[in-house]
Amino acid sequence: MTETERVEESTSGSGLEFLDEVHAALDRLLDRCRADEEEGVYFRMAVVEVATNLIDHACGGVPDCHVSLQLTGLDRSLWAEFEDNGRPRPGDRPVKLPEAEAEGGRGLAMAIQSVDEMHYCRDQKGVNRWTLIRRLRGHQPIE
Amino acid sequence: MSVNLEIKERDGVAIISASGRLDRVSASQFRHRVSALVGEGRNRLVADLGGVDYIDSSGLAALISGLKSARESGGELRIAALGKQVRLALELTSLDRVLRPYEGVDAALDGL
Repeated sequence: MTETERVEESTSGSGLEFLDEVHAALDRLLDRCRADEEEGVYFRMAVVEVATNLIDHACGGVPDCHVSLQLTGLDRSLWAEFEDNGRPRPGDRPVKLPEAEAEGGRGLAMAIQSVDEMHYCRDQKGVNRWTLIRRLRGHQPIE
Repeated sequence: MSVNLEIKERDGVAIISASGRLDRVSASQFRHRVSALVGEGRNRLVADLGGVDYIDSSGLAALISGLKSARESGGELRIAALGKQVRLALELTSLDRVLRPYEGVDAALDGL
């Protein structure tokens, strides 16, 4: 069985309402999916970090930037698919954790470490797509 | 959603009890509060995170900032009563080596 949640926002403001909506959508999805608590925590961390990254970097200061998030709960995996029409991700530099006492730069590294797969692409129409996949170890079937 | 911060003092240590989300929205609030306390000379601090249900990379950055601020003035910041997500976030980023988590406020106060 498949469970889905969708969030859409035009970040004409600060985009912070989007983060609240993302958390709320995750609450609803994870409650229905009955994923193992820890798996849900890791999935949430990845989704929220990418969402924050989009607000700050892809859409920050871009007028009429539109972001959407589709969350999908399958029997054996959780998916998050972001789309935005903001700035492209700069370069292909590897994402890694900064030094321990660094005050920033952890977001995407946290996201990558919290899921099994993370993919980014930008199409010719200028739409960025991020896909995050967390496989469920516990294999709790969705009712 | 902002974080709620309450400040109490015990044994000369400022205890910051945080509740809510410590994230992109509220991290600066925490950062400024710690900075203000250190500026008042209250540089021995315990952040009671028992009420924090979610922390993101910005929240972690605020904790690191607070730690640095306290240490630069000759003090210390400790964190206590971490919930599951906060603990996992610290372990994921290896920040539990920089900010050793204490079981509770009493344990964090010991020797501070």
